[in-house]
Amino acid sequence: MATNQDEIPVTLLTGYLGAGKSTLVDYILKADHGYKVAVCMNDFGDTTDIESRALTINDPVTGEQTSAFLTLPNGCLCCSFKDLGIAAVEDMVARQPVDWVIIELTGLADPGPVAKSFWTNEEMGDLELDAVVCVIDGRNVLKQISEPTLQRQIALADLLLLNKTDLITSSSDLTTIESRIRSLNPSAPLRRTERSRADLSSLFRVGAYSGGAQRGIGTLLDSSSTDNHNNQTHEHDHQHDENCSHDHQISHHHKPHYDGITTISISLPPLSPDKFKALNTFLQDTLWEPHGPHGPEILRTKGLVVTTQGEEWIIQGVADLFEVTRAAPAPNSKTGVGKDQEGKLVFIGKGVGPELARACRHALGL
Amino acid sequence: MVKCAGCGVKEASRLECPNCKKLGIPGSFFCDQDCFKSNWGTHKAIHSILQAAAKAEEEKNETLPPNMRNYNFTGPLRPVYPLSEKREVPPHIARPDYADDPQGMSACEAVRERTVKILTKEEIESMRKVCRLAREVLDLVASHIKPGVTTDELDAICHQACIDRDSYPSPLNYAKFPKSICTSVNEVICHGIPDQRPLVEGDIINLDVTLYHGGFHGDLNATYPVGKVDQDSLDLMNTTKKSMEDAIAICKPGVPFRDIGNKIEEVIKPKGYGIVRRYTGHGINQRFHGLPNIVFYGGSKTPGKMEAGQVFTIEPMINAGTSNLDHWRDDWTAVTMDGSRSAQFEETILITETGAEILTRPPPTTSSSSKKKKKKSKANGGTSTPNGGSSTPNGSAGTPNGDGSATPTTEATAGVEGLVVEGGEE
Repeated sequence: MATNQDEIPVTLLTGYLGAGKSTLVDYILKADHGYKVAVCMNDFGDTTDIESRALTINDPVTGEQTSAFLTLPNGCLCCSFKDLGIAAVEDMVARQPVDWVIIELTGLADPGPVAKSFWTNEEMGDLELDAVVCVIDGRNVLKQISEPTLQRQIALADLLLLNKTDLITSSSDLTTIESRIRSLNPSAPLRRTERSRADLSSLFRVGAYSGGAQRGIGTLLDSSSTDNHNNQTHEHDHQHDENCSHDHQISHHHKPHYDGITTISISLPPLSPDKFKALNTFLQDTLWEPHGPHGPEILRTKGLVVTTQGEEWIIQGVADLFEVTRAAPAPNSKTGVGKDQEGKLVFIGKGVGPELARACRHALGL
Repeated sequence: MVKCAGCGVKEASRLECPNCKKLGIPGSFFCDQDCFKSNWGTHKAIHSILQAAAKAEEEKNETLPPNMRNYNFTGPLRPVYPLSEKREVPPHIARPDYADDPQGMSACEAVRERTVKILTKEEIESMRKVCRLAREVLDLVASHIKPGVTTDELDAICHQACIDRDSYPSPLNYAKFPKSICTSVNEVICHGIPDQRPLVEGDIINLDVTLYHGGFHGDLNATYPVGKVDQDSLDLMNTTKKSMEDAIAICKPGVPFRDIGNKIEEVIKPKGYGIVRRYTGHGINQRFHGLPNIVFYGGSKTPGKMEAGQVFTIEPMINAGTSNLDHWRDDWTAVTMDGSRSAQFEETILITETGAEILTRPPPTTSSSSKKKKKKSKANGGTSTPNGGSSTPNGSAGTPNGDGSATPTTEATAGVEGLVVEGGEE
């Protein structure tokens, strides 16, 4: 039986047209890092033509690359709700074991559905969704950021690579760009790169979707801890939507720049068993029930909850999928959660506003 | 000293039996020519034994389609080809949209669903009808299970039983499935293709029947013993059935779909069996397969809650060993990776205002005189209490109650009386 160690991490590589995804892939395939990496460089959203897609695998010893077209494995057509593209990749890496699978999405693809498919599928297979990595074109991002696709790519990312920073001339521009990106995704680590040269160890086994691995949640807490310091009431809502559109950095826009992609972060005190149960119900109601055209569309949910018994629970979600898993008790864990530690729930999505925070607190009787 | 293969006393020379040499049998060295000749009568038996074995192996291989000859089978079961000719469905019977598609693709299923369908009253009535017919067909086919019957013969019975009920056998040509029923024997988890292999005493076989009638599909399956089967297989079948019953019992509006898997795991885990993860239950209505996907393992991320008017299947597949699976090179047959046996039970259920109605286990309409049925009818209650006495495996787990695992309903019992194993039911 596959344990977590046996599962092969999958990185979804997203980013707008020309951001430098292919350069990054090329770099990963050629760099001397010792990982055997399989890269699928074709679009994954369309499952009608799997067999036109190829998988490129490097050999970490010889440095050579081989490519092979994907084939549909036997019997996968009748397996229930299995994404055929994933089936094909899984079949190939089962025959030719690798350390790391990278799926490069096209510049115009919304990574959400693919992330959802991989995350669902990991319950059944040997591939484990590790992280969504978004490469951002530092030189053009301010021109492109009104594109809803780019906004989704940034919002859904677990790691942001701000690329081409060598082409950003002034440091004030850099600050502007970073705050722009942060307004769409305040919790993912943001790293600057030139020519897509990223520190590969920071891209590998991020564990952004795993309940047990705490790296991703550590990041969440890092981002939240600064907020906590600034907040006396422990009830604060971050909102970056229409209200932010008076931002002076973008001078020619009067409309909201971010088409309502917003983030809200809700602090939670240690929860009693009843409140913990109520939280679960609240998540079900919020993520599973359709909200109509004006309700929030939640792209990503993350959280860490502490119970009055001192248990830590990690919440992960993409679109309507979510899971609440017990954090592995690790004395040296990055979370460093103690009994007096506050929990935190973060929603990233379209139309996410303070009313969601109010609803959450109401549901929990806080 | 190497002794002579003839007399067994003297030292062997370098004289080797030419036939053995040819057949690759090692160590046939004799002391001399005369000894070889005088022992020929007994020695030559070795040749024929080996030749017979080789021939049997060859014949076995001959019945395999070429693409499966090099397949590393995970267990002892082998398909026996050729398959019979495709069976026709008379033109007066309404056909689903994939029946005549070259790829067996269903046009209505290709339309992506966003939500789980809520059926209208009329649609629910249609579902009740097709599910009742499907139950009849399953019970009828099951009554023919016995050692010596081929799965292809069971397919013919199923096919005709569907036609007799003005129904199309849904599996036929669905994604090009070649037959009208799925027959999954021993280590086959699901989607076994009926072929020329005769059932053998001690086998277990799952029959998965789906009918298309009045524009709707009704789907159910059950696992049956063939003659007398070992206790381990009975335990596997009983536990699998219990997991399905217990899962059906929790179904009602507001319950998350993923609680079904949590419940099943609760029943299965203590037994150490493997829960198949690759295959799921499914919504069923005008579509053969639709939303929701129902997984049977615990701790899944499956979204959504049950609502009144939804119809879906619960059909856990439980393996005696590993939950990992492989597929035969026929596009369909799913087998356990370790060759251990696998059992499955399935019902189509409707979520009602207060619970779940098992559509494929309709209330008795006629009062046929099975004494067992009379005995159990009280415990069986209404259809909305799925955990009725007859459906759960009988009391003590240690009893080899073939009837409990083999017959999903009291009604079915009458049909499969002949199959009861070890001790019988009376």
